[in-house]
Amino acid sequence: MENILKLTDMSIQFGGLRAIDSLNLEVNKGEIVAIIGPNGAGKTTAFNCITGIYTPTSGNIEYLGQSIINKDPEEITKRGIARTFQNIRLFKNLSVFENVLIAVHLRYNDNIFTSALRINYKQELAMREEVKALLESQDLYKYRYDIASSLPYGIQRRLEIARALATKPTLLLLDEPAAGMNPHETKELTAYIKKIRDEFGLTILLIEHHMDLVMDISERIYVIDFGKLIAKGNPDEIQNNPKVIEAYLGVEENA
Amino acid sequence: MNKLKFKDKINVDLLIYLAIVVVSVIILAFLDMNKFEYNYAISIIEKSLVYAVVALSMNIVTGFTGLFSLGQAGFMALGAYTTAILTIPVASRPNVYYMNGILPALENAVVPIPVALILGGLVAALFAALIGIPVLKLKSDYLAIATLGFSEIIRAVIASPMMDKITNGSYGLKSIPGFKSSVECFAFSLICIVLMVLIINSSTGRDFKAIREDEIAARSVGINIFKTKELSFVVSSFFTGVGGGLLAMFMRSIDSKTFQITLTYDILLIVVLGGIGSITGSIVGAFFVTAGKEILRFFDEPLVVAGTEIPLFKPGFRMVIFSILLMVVVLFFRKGLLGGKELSIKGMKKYSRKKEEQNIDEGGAV
Amino acid sequence: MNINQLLQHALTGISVGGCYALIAIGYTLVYGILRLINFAHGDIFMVAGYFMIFSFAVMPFPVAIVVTLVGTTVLGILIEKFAYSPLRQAPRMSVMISAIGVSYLLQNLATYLFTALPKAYPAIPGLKQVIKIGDISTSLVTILTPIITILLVVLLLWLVNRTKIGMAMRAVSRDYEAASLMGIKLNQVISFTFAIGSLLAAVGSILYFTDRMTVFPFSGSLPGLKCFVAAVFGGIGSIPGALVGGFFIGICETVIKAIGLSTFSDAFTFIVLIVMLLIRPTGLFGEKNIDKV
Repeated sequence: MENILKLTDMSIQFGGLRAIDSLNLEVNKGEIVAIIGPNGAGKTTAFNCITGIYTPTSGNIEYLGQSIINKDPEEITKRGIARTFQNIRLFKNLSVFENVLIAVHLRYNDNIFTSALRINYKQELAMREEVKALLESQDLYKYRYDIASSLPYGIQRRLEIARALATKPTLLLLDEPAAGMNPHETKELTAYIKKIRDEFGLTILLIEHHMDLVMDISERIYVIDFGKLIAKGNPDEIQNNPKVIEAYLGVEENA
Repeated sequence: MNKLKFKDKINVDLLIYLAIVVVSVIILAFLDMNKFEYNYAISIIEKSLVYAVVALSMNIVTGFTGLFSLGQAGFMALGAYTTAILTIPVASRPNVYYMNGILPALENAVVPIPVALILGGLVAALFAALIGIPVLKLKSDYLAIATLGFSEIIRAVIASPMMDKITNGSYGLKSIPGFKSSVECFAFSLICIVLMVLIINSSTGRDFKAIREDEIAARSVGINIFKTKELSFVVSSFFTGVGGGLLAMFMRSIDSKTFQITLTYDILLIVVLGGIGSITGSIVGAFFVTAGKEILRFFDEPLVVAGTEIPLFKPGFRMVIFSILLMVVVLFFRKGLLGGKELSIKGMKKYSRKKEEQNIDEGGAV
Repeated sequence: MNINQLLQHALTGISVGGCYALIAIGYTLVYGILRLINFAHGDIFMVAGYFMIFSFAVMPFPVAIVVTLVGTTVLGILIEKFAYSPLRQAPRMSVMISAIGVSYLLQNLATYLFTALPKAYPAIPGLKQVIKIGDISTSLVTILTPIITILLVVLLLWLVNRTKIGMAMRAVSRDYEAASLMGIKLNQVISFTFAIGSLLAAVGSILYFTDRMTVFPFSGSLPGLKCFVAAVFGGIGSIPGALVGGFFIGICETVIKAIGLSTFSDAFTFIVLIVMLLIRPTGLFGEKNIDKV
């Protein structure tokens, strides 16, 4: 199986706090992999390291066989890693259409002269066509004029995913996509994630607290506690792992 | 209609704007023909136009990119001096530089006015690029203070004796060729404004807005925020420089005191009153503030009613009024007159249409 | 330049630096707590000058000094209450614009009320007295300024590090939200911070203008900017940093003037800013912050 993402002994330290301690993790092509763990375990920090927002103190991150340590977030996105955020980060005062439109810019060559003087307006039209198609496929087209912050929470989540998809990623990182959703919505999301994986040929790494979703969707699961990997395996193995039960599943989570 | 067509851009708004332009030109041409009668009005209009250019350029960086730059006066000074030095008629130069003489290289350096304006903009842009490199990599808080400081440095350098042969030091420059007519002023300003609007509404402008909205999200969709911020700052400064050149043409004589921090504050006032992040706001604001200052001039004159002098009315009163107005807008109408929105027919129609039905129209959703 | 001249300049530099340090502390405290560049701070310093002029005219000087100090402190608190506190939830740019608005208002108000012409600053008895140390002659205020500055900074450090309100200030500057969740009364702490900043600016104003002898509506704007740079130089948020920064800027400025480059003495300050931002953006004593995602 083709390896997409590989973390080798990755650690990151903030002052005296070792937020992540020698994390080893692999994601293969086409997989849906989940990272779970109690709050503050270092899951989002791991995402931030992968996407270049933080630089790990030691260890390596390889994407498609190349190290992406010390690369800027924008460079990493260009290479094909897109993400969503735990507490939704949309371009709040822009329309839905613009939110997605901005995310397709990176695949088009435009500079200030060509774009301002409308020299290659065909490109602009191509971008718009693409966004239109994407919004339609994600069932968001009807909201295209709406200002992002005015949308209901669930739609905002979907918009954020759509925006990430617009960068045409190979690997999609979802940070708690089901946060704040009820069981019914979570079920829909589960189907949706599978659907986009197949439709866009994605590999997905996600952080999630909703165990139903995680167990249903993931091919493999990594469990982190206090920055350390305490278990990995398929959903069955994880559910029966005593360490995990002790550290995590024994506790009622309500994130 | 299933395909998005470029001709969708030719919409009602564009026609309206064209109509406004045509009507303006006709009115201005009329005023020009009766120059002596309407001298005062012409000067207010010209000043407003120049301020509109500068306010909009400030809005690019402040309103659309979310960076707080306070270097307007400095960049205007660069543009103004460049334009002035390159356009003052050769015959008048000995007269202008009567105290210290002129640098031999500049003695005969004359370029056509549009070229001089562009060069003025480029000089301002160059300096902006240099300041931007260290400052924009950091938290943008420092941009405000660095640009404000830069603005003061420029002023000090311009007035310094070392620059006597170039800037004429503290004597300033005069005999700058003015606008031949208010239509000319309108044309220059309009070109600047149209270019800025095109930039704001282009993919580059959308990147600016993305950074304003959320830097981390912007990076996550592949926007290089340092480059984009730098671009915004440089572009804004270019137009500020051109605006400075236009101001020099409007004033016909400039010196370093023209470009004090208060000038920046005046521009900021326009941007804030008009609405941060509103193109039409900046333009309307420029006219509102400039005309307002003239209309309120009587506040600065002693007012005598029935033989007694009303004590409030004395020099400086109207600026106090404008300061209070600025505070009121900042505190109670944070979004300014237009609140980041644009005056447009399409906008109004869209608003009413959305109330009826959500899902009909096609077209660029921007 | 002989040794005496050098000492003379050094003394002037230290004195100016002391005043700058007192103003810089006001910037550093407010920035530390609200992340706000208080553009109006320099103008508060200017208004303090006018307070002194007018109170001195009608009352004995010790009372006038007290009136100036109290008046300036109250002004600082009021500005915060009316112009900044309504914008707590607003984007930071709005607060900065509000600060500029206040600055603009104070300058225009001063121009309106007192005209743009410089007004003579009263000579506080004794302060201008000439003192001779060896061949150097200087006025008492020049000697007194650094001493008062250092005393006040020591007092302030004690206040911040040893008292309850000081602890609250540090807590707020470290984590605004957590501090308010822990029951710290934010508004009180913020008012207190502005009070201290303004009080120190008032002291600085008396020392500064006694030396300069005139006040005009814009006499606060450039010193204000310079002191912000001093605060950045020392590491914004750090009180010892502001002290060191103030002295550094003051001394360098005097030296530059002394070697005949007066025009560039103002420019120098901002070159310091740019250079500092390039090589050490957190300043001499600043701490590094990590933005949470």
